[in-house]
Amino acid sequence: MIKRRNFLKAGLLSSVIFLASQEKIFAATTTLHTLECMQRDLLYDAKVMPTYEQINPNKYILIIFNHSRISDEEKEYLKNGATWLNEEAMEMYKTSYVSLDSEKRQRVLISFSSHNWGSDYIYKILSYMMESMLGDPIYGGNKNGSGWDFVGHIGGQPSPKEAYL
Amino acid sequence: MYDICIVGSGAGGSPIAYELANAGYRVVVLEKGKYYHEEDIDKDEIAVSRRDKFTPTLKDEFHIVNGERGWNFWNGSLVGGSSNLMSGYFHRMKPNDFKLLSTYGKIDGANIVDWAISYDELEPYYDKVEKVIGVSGEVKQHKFLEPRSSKKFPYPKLAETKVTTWFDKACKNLNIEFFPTPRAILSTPALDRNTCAYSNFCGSYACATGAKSSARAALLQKCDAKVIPEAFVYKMDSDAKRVTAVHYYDAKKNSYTIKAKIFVLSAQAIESSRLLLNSKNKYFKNGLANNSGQVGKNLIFSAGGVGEGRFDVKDLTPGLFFNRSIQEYEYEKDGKKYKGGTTDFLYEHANIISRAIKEFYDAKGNILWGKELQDKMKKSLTSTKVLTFEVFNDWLPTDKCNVEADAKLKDKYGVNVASINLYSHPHDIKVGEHLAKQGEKVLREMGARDISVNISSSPPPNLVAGGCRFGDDATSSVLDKNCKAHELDNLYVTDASFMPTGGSVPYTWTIYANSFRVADVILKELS
Ligand SMILES: Cc1cc2nc3c(=O)[nH]c(=O)nc-3n(C[C@H](O)[C@H](O)[C@H](O)COP(=O)(O)OP(=O)(O)OC[C@H]3O[C@@H](n4cnc5c(N)ncnc54)[C@H](O)[C@@H]3O)c2cc1C
Ligand code: SF4
Repeated sequence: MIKRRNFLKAGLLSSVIFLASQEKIFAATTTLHTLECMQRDLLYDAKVMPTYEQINPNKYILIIFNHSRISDEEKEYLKNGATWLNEEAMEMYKTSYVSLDSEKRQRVLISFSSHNWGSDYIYKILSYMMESMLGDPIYGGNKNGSGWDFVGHIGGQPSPKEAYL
Repeated sequence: MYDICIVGSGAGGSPIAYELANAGYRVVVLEKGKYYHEEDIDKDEIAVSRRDKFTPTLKDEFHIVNGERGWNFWNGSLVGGSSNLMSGYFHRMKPNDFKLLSTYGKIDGANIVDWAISYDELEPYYDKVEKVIGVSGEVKQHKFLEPRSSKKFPYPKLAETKVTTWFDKACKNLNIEFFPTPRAILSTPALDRNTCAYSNFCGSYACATGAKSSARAALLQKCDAKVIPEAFVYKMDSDAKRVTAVHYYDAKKNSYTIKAKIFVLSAQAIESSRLLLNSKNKYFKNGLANNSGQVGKNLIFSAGGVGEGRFDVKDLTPGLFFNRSIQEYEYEKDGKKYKGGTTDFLYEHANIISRAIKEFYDAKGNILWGKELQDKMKKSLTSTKVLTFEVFNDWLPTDKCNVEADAKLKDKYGVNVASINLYSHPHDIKVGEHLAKQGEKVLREMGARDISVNISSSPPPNLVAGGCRFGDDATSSVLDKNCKAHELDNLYVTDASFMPTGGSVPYTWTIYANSFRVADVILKELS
């Protein structure tokens, strides 16, 4: 029962993004995979702040995609942004974002960020990463208070007994 | 049949519940939000500040603002209302605020009037709020200190961060009078409640200790009024002279009816007008108590804005308060006397996620990530502190700022939503800008860098009043001087709707005080 529920949750994000040009399919990837890759890339060369594993942003974005208080428009926007990032990669390197090496992905991100919509999308993904890094550890990120340690923050007391979903 | 039925459990409704229930009357309070007790309360930034746990989702319930959907005008839907979430910066209005028209004269395009009561009539109730609800502070003489019947606050001022000494020195150098900001927070255990724990998460968060003087902790939990949470009142019935019943939906949209001798409406300014406008019947074709066409008119907010400056400091004990205010309540410019206002100084909110998000851009407005973002965040979040100030001045009432019931759009209950028309008189900005200069001067003298000021015409949705003005003239006001509807014998409106002008301070002390005043009127009537 629980497994099926998790599968359904992931389903929304594991649908395939096809990248085509003149009806030829060049690449296929998923929203979740693209977001995971992007989230890692947004921590590029950041060796002092918490690691990807400590922030756990991909688990957190699943919470967001299933959150009762996140609007359908927002969820759609998060999905669309992953497609736009792949389209940027396609335009520059004729392949999906995830199949590029790290340096090329950074170049894609730089180019992507030069458009208002690209910069806004990065802002959005980073915002959710900050929620995961600096929110209460009960949400699955901020492992052992690593995010709070990084910025010298003391979490509010009483801390929540359960995540607000 | 109840003696009193109160719609909305915030600062406007709860003093009536407290007084009447403690006098032995049967009181019921209908509140659309949930009931959170101290043990349910936590400091979860994601839930409270990022997911807006205490307000409805905009998909379910919304406002139309200047014709558009998508604005969030909700403040706090829970037992005790927004007073749970307030920061509790408490100021009384000044005697001149009660006679703005006769003191400062007419301003073109603004519907300024004198109040139907004077400061002296409200003063005993301001005093009562200090004692019964709990206001801590220290009386410090200054030019605009209002007359007080008690020499001292009943509770001493809260503990302060040592950075306040920089502030005090700067003000002395500049010859600016200042005082410790009174706060609706207990600084000692009293009133069968705990003292403040300096949790560092106060404004926007409910209080887990009971020290914050919310309507819930201070009043509803201290009386036997029956509180029905998750009860959304959608209609009031009346005959020609009296309200006869209210109808509410529970969480599952089952409808219930409550009958009472007296009804008190206190759903916060916008929602109170909306409920009256949506409660049409053959006696009141334009909405309850609205044959004058005044319901929803002259909506006001607190005008002003904010400023901030950054300091290089590390060794700060989190949680201690800054608590400093200056009041330039009146000033002269080009030979003319102007009504001024209040500036409160406070630390930037402790919310770490929103503070981190503020670091996302470089000076040129480019988005940062990776090492660059890491370094910027580390530097500004660990070695600097932002001191902010908030300016409060009059938002002049005008014909262009009001609330209506939208003709078509409905919320999840199937009830027409409120449609708000926003307009800020140009005079408001002029005064705000004048006041902000002093705030800026103080920050500069303190040695702040990156100082910025933003005085604007955008309204703070949490500081809203008007819509059902009180007054002696039934053609230009909805309520009489006791906040009873001119046209109905048993309907009172006791949130900030009654206020024809707002004063140059946040409203809640005045809302509480006025509600205690009306409670006395109702008590007299019932006895
Ligand atoms: C974050 C924040 C900080 C603040 N800081 C300060 C401050 O420092 N100083 C200050 O003076 N003020 C402050 N305020 C403002 C203060 O909270 C309000 O002025 C005050 O609480 C308003 O009281 P009220 O009774 O009019 O409305 P509310 O407290 O909003 O109460 C109205 C209640 O009615 C309920 N309701 C609405 N419609 C219906 C319906 N149809 N049926 C049943 N129930 C209904 C609502 O859910 C709500 O609980 C702050 C507010 C917020 C949100
Ligand atoms: S304990 Fe003090 S600081 Fe914390 S919420 Fe309550 S009143 Fe505010």
